[in-house]
Amino acid sequence: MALVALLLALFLLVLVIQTELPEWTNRPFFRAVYVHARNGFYFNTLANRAAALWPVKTSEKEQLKS
Amino acid sequence: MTNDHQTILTAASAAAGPMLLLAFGALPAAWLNRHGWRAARTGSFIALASLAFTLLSVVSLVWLGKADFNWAVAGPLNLGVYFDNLSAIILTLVSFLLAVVARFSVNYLAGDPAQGRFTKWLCLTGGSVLTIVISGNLVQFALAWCATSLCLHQLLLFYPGRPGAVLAARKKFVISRLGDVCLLAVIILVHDTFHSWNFSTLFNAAKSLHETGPLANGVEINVICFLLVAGAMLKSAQFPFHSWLPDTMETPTPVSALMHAGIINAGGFLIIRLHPLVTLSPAAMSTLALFGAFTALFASVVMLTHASVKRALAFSTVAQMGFMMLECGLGAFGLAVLHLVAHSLYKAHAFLTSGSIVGLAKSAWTPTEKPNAHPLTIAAALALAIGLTLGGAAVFNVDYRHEPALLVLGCTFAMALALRFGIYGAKHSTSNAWRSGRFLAAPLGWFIFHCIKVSVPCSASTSGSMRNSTHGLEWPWLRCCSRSSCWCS
Repeated sequence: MALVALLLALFLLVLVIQTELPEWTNRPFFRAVYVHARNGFYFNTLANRAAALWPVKTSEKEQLKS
Repeated sequence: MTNDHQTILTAASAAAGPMLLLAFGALPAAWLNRHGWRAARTGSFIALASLAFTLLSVVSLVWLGKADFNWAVAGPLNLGVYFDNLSAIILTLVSFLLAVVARFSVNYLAGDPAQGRFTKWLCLTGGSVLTIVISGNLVQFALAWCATSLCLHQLLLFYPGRPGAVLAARKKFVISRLGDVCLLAVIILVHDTFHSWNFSTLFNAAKSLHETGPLANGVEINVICFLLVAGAMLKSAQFPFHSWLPDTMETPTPVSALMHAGIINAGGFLIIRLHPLVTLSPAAMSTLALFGAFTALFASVVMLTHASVKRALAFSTVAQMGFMMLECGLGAFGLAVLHLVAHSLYKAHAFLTSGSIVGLAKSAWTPTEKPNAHPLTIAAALALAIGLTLGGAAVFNVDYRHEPALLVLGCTFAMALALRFGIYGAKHSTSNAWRSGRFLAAPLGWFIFHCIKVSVPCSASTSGSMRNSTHGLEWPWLRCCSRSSCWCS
């Protein structure tokens, strides 16, 4: 039942965000939230840095230049 | 298991489509490139032929019943076709999408010097996905699963000179190999526990375990279920592993359409296919529901902020997959199948038309502003949702303590429905409200249908709150599929 309550609360929250976000854009806090959301809360950046650990072969580097 | 003539007919017609596609894909890329456009035309014709074979197998399924065909048995290893209602739905869906995508890419890539290579890998990818769907045992399933991701990798690197494409394909490659490791571990553990890889044997064993209650080898089964859940989450781009999906936009648009509509939902298919097994571990199911719900919420917020059509669509896919995982985790497998089909059809259409949006915007399109809801509307929607759900429970005599899936999904759909009516009713004409509300008719119908099903006493014997999903009576709801769109889209 705790899981059910948590899920319902989360869905209500996202419903509110989805419908109200355009109206909130004047407030500084929600502008900041918007920018963080635009960057996917930086999980993609972490994944990209992890992916950079894989060394790029020379032939691929040449292909990237072209 | 007897391999009589009827079973062989169904199995052969189901297997013919993937075999044709794989045979075409085995042709050398250099030779196909020399005949570029004609090779693409042939590929599109073969995809159409495979759709025809699929329809034949569906007719055969309806007339002759479920097929469980095994060939070349060597110990626990064999080649098999397991073809039931679920396979039939997904096989028809994927063959149809593949036929559309193959036909679309004939003109989309016309004149590209590597069109033949593209067609080759498109057919191989499609053939592998279809093989997943009809697989009769776990090893075959895992091999096709791995082949799908390797073939897709070739399509994602179709333009190897694009750094964005290389980066995204690498992230996908690493995540897919993690998923393969999960499936490999599942194969080993399942053989240790059940001494078989055949789906029919596994399902029977799981069914008897459901009936005996507390499990003797509970730890092993829990580990298997958690590994299956992890494999599905890795395949369907769930929360910590989602970042490759929005980045794979450097590939030709038809590939995006096929990937988002036909391949990404393989994770959901894994859970639905093996649901007799996965439901043995309530902890794994709850984990799946939690991660799915979080992914749906996370991605649907991020989606709002993206201006690029394809990136926004990709985040929408992540959200939809999360919602599908939530449905699976709550045991609503019938709804998950409905969602899978509806999402695939609308997402394939959205991707294939995404290029036309620019032309439309240039000519006559003016963006319509999204209406904002008054806080009172939201409060009213919540009250209405709770009222509808509890009222539904009273009318149909449902005890929600035994039906958590019905409570969550019923409340969620009612909330979305009430809010849509609230917003559109306040700001637009009533006809608009009906038009937008109609989209939610299918899930709501499913909800009412399940309430009725639960309230019928004879169905009370099914195990716990987890319901058997691919029930024959749910098929009428699939008719509403193309219209039903989920609220996180």
